[in-house]
Amino acid sequence: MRPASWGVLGLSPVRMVALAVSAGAVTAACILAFTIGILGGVSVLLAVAVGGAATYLVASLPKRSLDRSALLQAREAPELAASAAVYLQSTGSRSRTILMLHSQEPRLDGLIERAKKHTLLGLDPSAAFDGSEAVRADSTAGILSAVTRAQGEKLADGGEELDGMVRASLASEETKFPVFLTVSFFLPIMLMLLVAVGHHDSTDAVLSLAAVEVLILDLVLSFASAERKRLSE
Amino acid sequence: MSSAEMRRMNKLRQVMRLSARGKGMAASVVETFKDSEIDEERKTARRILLGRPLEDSVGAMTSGGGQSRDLLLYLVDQAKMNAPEASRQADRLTAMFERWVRAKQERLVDQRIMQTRSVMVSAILGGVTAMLAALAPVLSTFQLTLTQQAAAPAGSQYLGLFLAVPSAFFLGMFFSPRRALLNSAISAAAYMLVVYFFAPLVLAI
Repeated sequence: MRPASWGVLGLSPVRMVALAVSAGAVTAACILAFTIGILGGVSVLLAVAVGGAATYLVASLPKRSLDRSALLQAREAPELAASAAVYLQSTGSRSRTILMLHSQEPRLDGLIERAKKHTLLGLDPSAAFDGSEAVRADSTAGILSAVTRAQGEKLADGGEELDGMVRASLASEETKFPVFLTVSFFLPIMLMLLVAVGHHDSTDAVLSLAAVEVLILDLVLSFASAERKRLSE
Repeated sequence: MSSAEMRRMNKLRQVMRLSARGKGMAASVVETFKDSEIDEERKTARRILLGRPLEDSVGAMTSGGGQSRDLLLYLVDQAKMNAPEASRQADRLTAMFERWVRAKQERLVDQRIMQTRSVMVSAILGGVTAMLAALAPVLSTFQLTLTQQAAAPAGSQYLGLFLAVPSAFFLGMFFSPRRALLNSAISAAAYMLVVYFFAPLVLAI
């Protein structure tokens, strides 16, 4: 979670904090309602831990969204560089090149559209690109900078950055996978032990514990599968 | 799926080679795909020969996803500007896309191995949980607190299914959302089997 990512997406920090805390509070209340009769005082600790995890997951949604944008932009960079080189060489015009550029990544496409408006209004298009938070990949930033300066020879495809991002995502996935496997394997076993040893073998108690299990597994799945989803796109 | 993607990528490389020599993008596409065994590729060549614009003709080949689609769209788009230059620039793109396809292919193999492992873990999970459920009457006699413990009723062994099946479902969701139900079914089957054979033994003891 990085509050800076909220600012990039134009989200109000107060609203984001309220949303994240509300999500955490609702999750904690659910855990408390399901387990207070079974675990007693321990259920408060469990509710605080699971509520905290839910708060973190909601608060870090914008950061995960920006990471996804960065990977998409880095993946698109070689195509963008090749297109820009063709346009620059064919038209010999910086303005025409900017007017022909487009991107499949929504945030970058929005930025390019803004630069096109600047160009059509006779303003300097580099003002739209410079320091823009919508550009998440360095290679894309380099390409846009080269285009605005009409430096076709400096258009690099950014393959190394993409490789680095993919490797980082794979490493992160490999770290989180054992966590998910351990939780999903041992959680039902621990709960079954609790049922057996603590005599919580009524249908209501087992269903309550099953609901808690689903809540926890859902949170762990969201936490562990972010990189997996990003790489599968 | 990925080997087809690689084959298409190699053919697009040939299109680029021909186009870079100044043959023209449409003529290069026809030259490359006219004898293809794949129906949509032959259709594309036929449409171009019938006089339809290149952009419309490649519609059948761009309906699927993948990197070859991106490359083809790039070539068609840039051909309007400067086909030989676009083909020269695309050569670097092909190398990058091929690397990407290979990485995806490797990932696909890894994913299949992990899916099989997740099914095995689900079965083991079902078995272990069932064993604990079957042992519940024994475990419940352990004096862990100072209060008097009552023995668990024997009929509650199947309640453990509510704990094992969701976990197996989430395991399946992690590896392949389409096969999540398979994990649940295998876990449930393992659970039932273990309870059916193991619970009478515990009760007899």
